[in-house]
Formats: sequence, C-alpha cells, structure tokens
Amino acid sequence: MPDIAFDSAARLLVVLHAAAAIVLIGSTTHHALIAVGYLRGRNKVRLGRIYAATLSVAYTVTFVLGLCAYPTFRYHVRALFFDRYEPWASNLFDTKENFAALGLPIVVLVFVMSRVIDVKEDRLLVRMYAACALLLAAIVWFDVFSGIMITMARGV
Amino acid sequence: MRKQDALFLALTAGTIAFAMAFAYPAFTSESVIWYYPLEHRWAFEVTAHGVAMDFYGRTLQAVIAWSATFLVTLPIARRVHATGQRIPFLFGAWALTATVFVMLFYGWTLHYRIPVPAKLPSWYQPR
Repeated sequence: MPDIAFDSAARLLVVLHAAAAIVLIGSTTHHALIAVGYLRGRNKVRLGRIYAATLSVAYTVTFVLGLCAYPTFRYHVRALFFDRYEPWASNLFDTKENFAALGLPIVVLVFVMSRVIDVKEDRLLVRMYAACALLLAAIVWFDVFSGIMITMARGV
Repeated sequence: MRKQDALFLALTAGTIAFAMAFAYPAFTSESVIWYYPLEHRWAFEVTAHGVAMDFYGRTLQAVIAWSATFLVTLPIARRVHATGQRIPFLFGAWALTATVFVMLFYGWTLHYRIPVPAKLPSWYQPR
C-alpha cells in the first residue's frame, strides 16, 4: 500500500468535511434569503452579517478539510476505481471542486461587503450583493448534492 | 470613491482575476504546480506524468492573482473621484459573468471528459 498524505485520517476528514458542509448549506441559504430580502425592503442587517460570517468560516473549514482528504481520494477512489468503473463520478467531482474554488473570492466579497454596505443607501451595490449571495448558494447546493452522490458511489 | 464602493470594485476586480487565473492553464500550455500524492513531491510543469493533481497549483495561482489585483485596485479606486455606484456595479456584473463563464466552461468540458484509469497495483482489492 502506498503512503499517502492524511490517508489514515481520510475518513474522519471526510466526515468533518460533511459536517461543515451541513453548516455551510444552512448559513448560505439563509444568507441568500436575507440578501433577497434587502431588495424587497426587509433589512435584517445584523442577521445578514451573522450568516455572512458563519458561511465564511464554514466555507473555509469545508474547503480546507476537502483539500486535506483530496490526495487519498485522488488515488484510492478516483485513480483506482472511478476512472475505471464510474467515470461520471470522476467528472462530477472535478466539476464540484472547480466550482468550490471559484466560490472563494465570492465568499470574501460577501463577508467584507456585509460589514460595510448600507442596505438603505447603496441600492445598486445591494442588487449585486444579492446576486453574489444567490450564486454562492447555487455553488454550495450543487457541491453538497454532488458530494452526496459521489460518496454514494464510493467513499474514501 | 467612497470606502464601500472602492472595496466592492477591488473585490470584484479580484474575482475577475481569480476566475481568469484559475482557468488560464486550461487554455494555454502554461506550467502549473502539480502534486504527486504517491511520490510526495511537487512539480512545476505543463502536463503531469502519472497520478497527479493540479488543483492546489491552480488555486494558489488564482489566489495570488486575486491578492495582487485587490492590492493594486483598492488604492486606485479610493483615489478616483467618481460619484454614484455605476462603475462598481459594472465590475460586479463582469465578476459574476466571468465566474459563471468559467463554471460553464468546466461543467461543459468535464461532462465530456473520458478519464484514463491508473494501472491497478498487485495489492489492490476493491473495498
């Protein structure tokens, strides 16, 4: 058996990755709903800031745990199994990881802007902020459900 | 420019740079950092030879592009004497477009990819 980084802890890492993703999908969805509320005059700013901070921490934790478990997945799951028997899962995983990376700058944007934006005065920025929140929610929902499907096919 | 407008502009400019730097290796024969999990080594090359991962390298490259763009754009945006939020709004629209475009690119290309499986080692037993 080859020695791979974090191999012995891979299952624990993926469980923690999934636990963080549960927090992430909840906070991102609530945050997106609150951001849409800004457009409709329902300005729950304090709650919006709390959800933005929560999703930022959850996104970072989920992403880092995924990075740590990735080498084990890359060899034991993808190279030896998915690429041979379930190529759709290989491709779905790579799509998911690329989408997750593309969400990183939007997470930073949402977190910073939630702290400085004036939802009553900055109406143009609020529209774009809500669009960013919705795109982030779409990425997270896609990634969570892709992750579930991939793990159902084969886990680490 | 007001603080929140300048911040928004710099963050969206960074988002555009991130998306472009992340996808750039897919369009050109540019060297990126690859990690070889079986050999515990890193390599800076265009294509991998064996089981390797370029995700770390591409993400790092995109983070560096994001940081550089943000750090350059923020002080410039603060000095610009512009009223209204039309320019930050436009940058926001471009940032979302760039991100969605790169997502669609990866979604499209990976949907049709045919992976090449690694050679099965003698000890291998599906678990």
